[in-house]
Amino acid sequence: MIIRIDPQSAEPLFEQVVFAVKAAVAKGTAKAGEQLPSVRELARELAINPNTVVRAYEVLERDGVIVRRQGAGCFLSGRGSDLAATERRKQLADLMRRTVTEAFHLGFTAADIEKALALGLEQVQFSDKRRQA
Amino acid sequence: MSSPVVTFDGVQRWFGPHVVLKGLTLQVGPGQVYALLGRNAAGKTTALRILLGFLQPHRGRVTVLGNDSRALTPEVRGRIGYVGEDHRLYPTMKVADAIAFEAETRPAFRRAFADKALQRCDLRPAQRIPQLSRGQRAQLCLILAVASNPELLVCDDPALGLDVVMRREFLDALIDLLADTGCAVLFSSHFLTDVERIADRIGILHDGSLLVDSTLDDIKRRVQRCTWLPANGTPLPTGPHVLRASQRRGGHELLLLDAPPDLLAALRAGGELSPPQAPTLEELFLGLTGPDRPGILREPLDELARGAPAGGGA
Amino acid sequence: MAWLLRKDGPWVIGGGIVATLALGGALHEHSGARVFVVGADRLEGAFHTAWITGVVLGSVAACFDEVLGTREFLAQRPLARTALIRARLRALLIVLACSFVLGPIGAWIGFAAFHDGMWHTRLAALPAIYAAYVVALSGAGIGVAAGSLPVPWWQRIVVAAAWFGASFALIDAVSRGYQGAARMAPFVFAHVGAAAVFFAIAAVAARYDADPDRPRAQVLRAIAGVPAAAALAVLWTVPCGEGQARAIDLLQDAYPVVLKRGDEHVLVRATHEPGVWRVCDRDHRSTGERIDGRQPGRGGVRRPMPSWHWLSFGFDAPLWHSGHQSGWSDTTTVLLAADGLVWTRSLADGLRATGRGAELLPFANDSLIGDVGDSVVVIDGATRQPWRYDDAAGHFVPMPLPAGERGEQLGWASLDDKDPDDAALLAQLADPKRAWAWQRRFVRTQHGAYTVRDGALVAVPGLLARVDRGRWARDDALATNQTDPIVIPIELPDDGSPVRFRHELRPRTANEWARAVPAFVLSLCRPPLLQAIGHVTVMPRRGGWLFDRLVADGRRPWLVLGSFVLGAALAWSFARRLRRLGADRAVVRLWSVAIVLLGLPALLVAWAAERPRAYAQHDVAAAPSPRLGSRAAEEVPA
Repeated sequence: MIIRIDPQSAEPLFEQVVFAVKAAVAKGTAKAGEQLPSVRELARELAINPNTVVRAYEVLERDGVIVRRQGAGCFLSGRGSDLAATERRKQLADLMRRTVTEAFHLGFTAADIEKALALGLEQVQFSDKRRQA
Repeated sequence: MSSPVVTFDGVQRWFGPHVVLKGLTLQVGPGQVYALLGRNAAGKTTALRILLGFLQPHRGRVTVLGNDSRALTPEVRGRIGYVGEDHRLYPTMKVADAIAFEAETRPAFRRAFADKALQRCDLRPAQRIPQLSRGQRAQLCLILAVASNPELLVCDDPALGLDVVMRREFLDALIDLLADTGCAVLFSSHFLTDVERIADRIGILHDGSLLVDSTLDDIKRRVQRCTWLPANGTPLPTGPHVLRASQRRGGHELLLLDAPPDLLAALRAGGELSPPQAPTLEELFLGLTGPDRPGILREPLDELARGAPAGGGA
Repeated sequence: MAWLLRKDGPWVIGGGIVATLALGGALHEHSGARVFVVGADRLEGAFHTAWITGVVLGSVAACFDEVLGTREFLAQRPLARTALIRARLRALLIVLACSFVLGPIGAWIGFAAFHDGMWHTRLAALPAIYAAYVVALSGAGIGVAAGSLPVPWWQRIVVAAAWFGASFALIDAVSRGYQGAARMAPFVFAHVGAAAVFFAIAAVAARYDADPDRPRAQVLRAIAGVPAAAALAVLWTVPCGEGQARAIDLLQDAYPVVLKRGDEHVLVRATHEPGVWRVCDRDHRSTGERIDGRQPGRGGVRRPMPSWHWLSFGFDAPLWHSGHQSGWSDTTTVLLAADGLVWTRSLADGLRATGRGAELLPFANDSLIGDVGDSVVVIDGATRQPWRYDDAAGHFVPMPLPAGERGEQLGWASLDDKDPDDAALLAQLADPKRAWAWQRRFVRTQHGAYTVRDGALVAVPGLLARVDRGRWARDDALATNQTDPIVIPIELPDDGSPVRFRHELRPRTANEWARAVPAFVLSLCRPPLLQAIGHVTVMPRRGGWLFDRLVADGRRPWLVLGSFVLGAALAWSFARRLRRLGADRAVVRLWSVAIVLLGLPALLVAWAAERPRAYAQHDVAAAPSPRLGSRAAEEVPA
């Protein structure tokens, strides 16, 4: 699993770690049961504060992406998310609203946004298909 | 929440007519990495020296691990690690002597840890201290400070004078420490990229007090930077959301705090606006403490800072 | 201990080596026989080397971490401050102890390698060596105490110099006995005591950090500020005394002298023309009368001034006993130890023990040795019997004195062959070997002076008055107060016949007052406490520079009072300044008392110690809270 971050990006580091793990799961490059690097390994690899990694893993665990086994480490659970469907739907709506707002501020029309969304979906589906192939 | 490891409470300190600290207040929680930033002579070293009991504050007090900094007992000192600004070691010693001296004067010293760390850093015990490079000296100092398993590590500009590789090695050593022990770290630094990687919380010390005392995530979430070229006659925006506005080629460089969409819309309506981005720490630091200060820093922000919705782990 | 050596190793080892070489090497100023067999009478080199070594080692010990810049690197360790200080002082003492032991051993080995006679080595010679070394302790104390003071560099150096000058000069004064010889026990105890005091000061002073922006700890004022002021006060008496001596010399020059004209005595002043005098009246005003053309011959003019001798300040390597070796047998030197053992030393035979008679008995303690006439003579300290060294026999033989006479002194006399009286005496001596000698020694008894010719004592009539007095005659380490140098009573003639002229010299004219006033003013400036002590106690013969002769022996209480009034005025003005700065009452009280008692020097110290900067308070507007802040409690994941 490749986890990369950009310390200078606007996004908080722990969110970048969370996103990287979720992206790996979503793209299918990481399989269920795969072990995540230890906190120390990942902190050293990324040269970031171990607290940040701990926090990211906690968020991932809470979201059901990983499970922690005492003494053995963290493993991918194989589920995209443990959250209830409503909660997930609410998060999706939230995400969409933010994206759409930003896009409008950038001066795009509704048609542009729909087109971009379709393109994004295609890319994700493309990797899904490749995984299935 | 357990009690903080370090508390500065309204600390004032002057040297002759020059008031260096005008009421420094900050807290470092257990396991937290606090980066104290500021320009040269902003008072970072003074603050750390007060913390370690080398200086006494004129007003206010500093509490370290529950003890007043003015009366630190050997027991409390044993729980604090310190890396000085100039990485001072006894120039008459060899590396092995420095380790032995540390082991003899600190009961909690972990010999095995130190030996392993030496190996990793490529420091040979037979090397004489004056023959070490600055980076090696800094590494040795950190190893010495860390090997006693401190509850609080205080580093005064540990990366000063180190090249990029050395800085990264230093960072690695610090990360190891944090991963091993979860000790609290209070350090001052000039190297903001390192700070962005490692700090949980940053304080920007300017003119004797903190301009910023916030978590890095919070800063990234709440502060936005954009360039604005106003159309003729459009007044510069003011108000609690404008942290800083400075003149730029035909327009203004704006630092916005918690900018609401309508403020952005108004700006866009009044001229050309670049897409708002989160500033890097360097941009934030420059923006807040840089020499070009037209004085748009708004006092009402105090209130905002206090009342703002907390952005933490949500 | 191990950690200490690891840290202080460089100066402990380096200092130990240097100190050992210095102290050992310094003993080579004399021959091995003199240092290790007879016992040195004075070890000047060792004395000066020892105190210099001590001061240097002490200051290095105190400032080692400060110079290396590792003070904070050390201070952040879990070591009690007192443990650090104790370790530092202990290291210093260990270095000194090692050099005290190894120095003489090394010196002895050096002597043994190049000199003969070292098998005569006696333990009795060691006290003189260690008595000279003991100043290394007090020197080290001064160095470490001054070096530990949390004040700027220049102040530490000034304080060290003041402590050194004052304590060494005072100890020199109290340990001196008759004729410049020092008493060993008071000397050693005083230096060890001073070392203990200074080590204690260092132990307290080192607990505090220098911070020019805060008032000092009160205990520092008490244990370092006041001693510094006291030392300066002691030294301050020196320029005061010198100034007074100069003023009084000028005053006495201005006083008229008494001229004997026939049976009559008149007060006169010299004019620019030689031999021409101007007569003065009893108020020292010129009457206009001149006495002309009369050369002032011997006995004509009386200058009835008391001998004016200002006891000068200083210290020197102590002299343990006088009269030690004598060499006037062409090939042989005779060495006499303080405890009465005698050796001869010659190129041919090396060092050889000798003594009284064929049994080679030792002499008593405090015997005297000297070259008299053509022989080496020893006066036995117990029997006062003179003995002569018989080169042929290889031992001392007694020389009988007339019944009832006892040898009192091997006294010196100065004889000038240009003086007719002295030439007559010299002719009696018939002592061609010493024709060149200006000063000669004689055996002095109560009633006569003797030289030695052909192995026998020969009385020299008329010489007794010219030979200096015996050392057993009196011990005048404490002399009564000397007379007043300003008001001088004259009674003439002073040969016991009825007094026919009485006058009191004292400032009467404006010119005389102009010269007397500076002496009085300098008296006012002296430390009041010392003035009071000098006013009521007997003036010591040594260390008399400490006290003021103008007020000694109960003279001029108003001058003593005046110095206290001046001190009080200084104290009052300084107290006002301190209160304005915002100092505590205890601070004001301490300095006030110190200034009243010690005067100007204490004011200087107080002024240097209490700077406005330390008391300055800056009104700082309450710092604004951060522009960008988030609550402290939110960021660490629970």
